Amino acid sequence: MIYFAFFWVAFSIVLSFLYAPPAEGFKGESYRIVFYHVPVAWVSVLAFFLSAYNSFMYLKKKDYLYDIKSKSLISLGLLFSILATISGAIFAKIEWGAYWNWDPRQISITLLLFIYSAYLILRSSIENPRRRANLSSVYALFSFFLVPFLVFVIPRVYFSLHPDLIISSKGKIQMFGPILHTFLANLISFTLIFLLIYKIDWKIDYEIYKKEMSDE
Amino acid sequence: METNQLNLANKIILIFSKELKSEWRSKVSINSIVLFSVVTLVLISYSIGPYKIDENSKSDVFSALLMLSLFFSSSIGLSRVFVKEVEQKTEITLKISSDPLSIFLGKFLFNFILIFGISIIITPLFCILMEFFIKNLCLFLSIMFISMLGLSIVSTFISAIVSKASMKGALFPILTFPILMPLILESTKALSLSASSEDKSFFLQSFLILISYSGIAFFGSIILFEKVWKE
Amino acid sequence: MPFCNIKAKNIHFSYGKENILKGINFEVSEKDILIIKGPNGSGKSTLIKLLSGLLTVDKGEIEYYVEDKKIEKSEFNIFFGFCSVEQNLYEELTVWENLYFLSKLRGIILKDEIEDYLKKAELFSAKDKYFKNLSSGMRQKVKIISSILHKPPFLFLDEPSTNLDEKGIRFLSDIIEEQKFRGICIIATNNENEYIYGNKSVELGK
Repeated sequence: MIYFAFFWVAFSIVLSFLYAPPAEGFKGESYRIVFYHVPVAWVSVLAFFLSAYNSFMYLKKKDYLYDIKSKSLISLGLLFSILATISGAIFAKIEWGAYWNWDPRQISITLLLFIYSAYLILRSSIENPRRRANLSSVYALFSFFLVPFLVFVIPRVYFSLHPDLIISSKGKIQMFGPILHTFLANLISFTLIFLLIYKIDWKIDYEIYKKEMSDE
Repeated sequence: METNQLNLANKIILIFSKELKSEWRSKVSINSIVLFSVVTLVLISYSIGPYKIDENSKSDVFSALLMLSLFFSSSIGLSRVFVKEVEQKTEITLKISSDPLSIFLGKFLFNFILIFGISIIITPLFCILMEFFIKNLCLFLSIMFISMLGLSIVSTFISAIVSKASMKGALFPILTFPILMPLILESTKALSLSASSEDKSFFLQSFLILISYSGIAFFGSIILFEKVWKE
Repeated sequence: MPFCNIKAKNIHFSYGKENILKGINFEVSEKDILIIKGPNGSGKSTLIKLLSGLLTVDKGEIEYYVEDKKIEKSEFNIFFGFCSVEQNLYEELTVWENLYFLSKLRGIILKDEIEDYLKKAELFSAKDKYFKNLSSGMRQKVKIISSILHKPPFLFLDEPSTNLDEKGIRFLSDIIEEQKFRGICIIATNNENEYIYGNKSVELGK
């Protein structure tokens, strides 16, 4: 699995620089950042959905495993949403002339960032593990109820510079051929990276938790 | 053993009136919110004043400032509603005597009346100090009403979470801000539009967004409140 | 006389990694007064909170029956009375308002009853005082009254004689005596003077 992922990631990096032809309507080669920006953003949203699922399972089953998973998902989600914000800001500077212009999608990703941080701050301010697991799961679920607003409603309603979902931008080029292949390859490779780190992360935390339980 | 449970509405009113009575006697929340909003108002008025901003952007800037000062006032006053139960150690008493649903609703009602009342007082003051005239008062007030509804639902719910954590004061705005952001953005936009033009076409869309936000927040917090309240 | 009992089977509870209760079993029925004994930190308060529904068990079951009918979680507030040292009443309300509010929340208002209890506890003259102005002994008595106004078949007391003087303790034993005819009383304490009330006991922390 790890070897396959390693190979795949290397493969899709090569694709994104050599295989995909330059796109029209973009300045220079700047559009290539999209191959990383969109998958990273997708992963940070994915992390959010998965953590909501794990929080729900924690509240139902009261098993700490779900809480540990949820926590590592949120930490990773934070990391990836920071990457998405930075890569997006760089692209925005090159294409639209400003790092930040409060585009609806920028609002969404910032709020996701804030929610992730708020979740982690909430965790760090509760001492009792049972209470911490319970309240942070509740918070994750509650924000999950309201966040579809940020991610889905607001970008639809407000005028956005962002291309609709997948690149097409000003030139209204739909993704096709090599660009689409490269894009999908990168999407898969980032999902793989994410899932691998996630698995390692929660397993470490879970081992630590089990060790603490048996030490007692 | 008679088991004549009061109906939900009666219990909500009972809890609401208890909140009102103890708030009336201590006045901690009211005083802090009013004072905070007035201080913000004075600061804004002093640093920006009515004439430094040109006519066209006035409504945008002032509605944003108004919503922001209400948001921060709420984070000072509305968070008290559960925090004070924990501070005074009355949480167990309440827990053992009533059910989570009526507690949540009673406290939410109290928070809503409090913040809506404050906004009714602050808005005219703001308008006078800033020479900010609202073209469509009716729409303005109804937008204000729904936004404060959503604001107080979320605040009441987060207050219950925060009351069980340490560093309650700092945590509250951190937790509420990202969740309330869509509400604040939408209502700022709608308030600004209703203040600046006679055009009513924007209203339905904003109204629907705000109402569905509040609705989801309401049902979400009712479902999850029991998990917070009973550990 | 309602037939009522509590069955606790194999209760486990932990705060994170600290296991506080491991496999507690007992059964009590009406007229029983159960004493939960144990040194500090052995989980007496935790057990009484679990029994009164304030906390939820990790493993095991607690069942409550009144007249062979099982009591559901949503009915706990009318069937249970609870008084603990960790608890307080509303400081900004008067004694009377506190008691009135707490009994009305359960759908029961018996003004005469409240007055009776206040007189028995020698608190009638203080009924319009704010709760925050009471002495600690008076507070304790008001808390005890608040836990029995709705005549609960299950009464849970955590260190009930804390802060009470001799008269207060007599008042408390009257209350416990009265409770025998209403159902079950469970007392968590490590005060040996309170052991005499009980006819059954559970020892924790062994």
